[in-house]
Amino acid sequence: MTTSFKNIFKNMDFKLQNIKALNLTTADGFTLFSEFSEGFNFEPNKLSAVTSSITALSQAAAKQIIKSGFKSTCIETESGVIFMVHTRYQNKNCILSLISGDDPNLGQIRYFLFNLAEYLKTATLSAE
Amino acid sequence: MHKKVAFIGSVGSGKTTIVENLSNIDPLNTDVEASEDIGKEMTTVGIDYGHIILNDEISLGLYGVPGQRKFSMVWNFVKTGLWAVVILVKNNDAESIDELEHLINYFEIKNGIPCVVAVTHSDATSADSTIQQIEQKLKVIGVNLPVYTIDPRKTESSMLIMHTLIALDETQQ
Ligand SMILES: Nc1nc2c(ncn2[C@@H]2O[C@H](COP(=O)(O)OP(=O)(O)OP(=O)(O)O)[C@@H](O)[C@H]2O)c(=O)[nH]1
Ligand SMILES: [Mg+2]
Repeated sequence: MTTSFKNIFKNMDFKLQNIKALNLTTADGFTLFSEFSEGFNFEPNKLSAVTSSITALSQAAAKQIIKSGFKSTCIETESGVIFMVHTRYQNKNCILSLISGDDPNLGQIRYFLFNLAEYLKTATLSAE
Repeated sequence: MHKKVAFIGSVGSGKTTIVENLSNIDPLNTDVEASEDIGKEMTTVGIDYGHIILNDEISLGLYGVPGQRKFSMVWNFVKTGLWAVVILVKNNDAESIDELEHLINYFEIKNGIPCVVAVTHSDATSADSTIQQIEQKLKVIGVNLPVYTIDPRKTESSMLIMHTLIALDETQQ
């Protein structure tokens, strides 16, 4: 069964209630897939570049300061979070990020995002 | 006194290499595999950070930024509070030479800030033409910066640039 990123977004949106965006980028900031909710004004390529820089810095901090493997970065804002996890897609290092709605449940976001990251490591998504 | 030096310039000009080479501490590295062909395997997406102690009075924080423009968010972090800037240009590389003007404008480099242009990759072919093109550009932009050739892989060559910045700072004061 292959699914599309659009379907994954819909599913995530249903489970987590009103997420704003879901984005997959290569580690060097090339957008692979991006889905966002209607009315959410956003530039996928900007999010990809920013998540790639932030994740690289988080990874460097984890490895070079705490001497530990990187898992995720979370930016908390007054209206929701941006959650970033490392994954691989088609054998490339990638970053999966989610922008939540206004009242996020961090535990759930973390759980579903880590699951999706695992799934993507061996998946081939269809275009539609 | 601690001073902040930025290394800017196009992809592959040698920013990460020079920070790694100059640093007295294990440098912070944020390179990832490049997914496009950029002539090398890894590219910087965050910040290179290193540190050198020049003497009892001066230590330098070395900040290398990504060459790709889409990471200009990182340029903004590095831009504030700079003491000096090193612009690296890859020899015989039109894109690298063209990037000069954009970088000078972005980092608001003006006469009076210690800043040098350093041409890299000049070990195999002559840098004369590159230097000429750079000097022409600088004239048009209206900034007066010294242009040198260096090899970022070599410590002596890289240190020369640091000492030049200090000399520039002293003459400009
Ligand atoms: N032959 C030669 N190789 C050089 C010279 N300077 C740098 N290099 C090599 O060129 C490459 C430069 O790569 P980086 O230091 O990663 O370049 P960068 O400016 O950090 O690039 P980005 O982070 O991708 O923007 C390295 O493989 C260096 O070993 C030089 O003067 N001569
Ligand atoms: Mg670099």
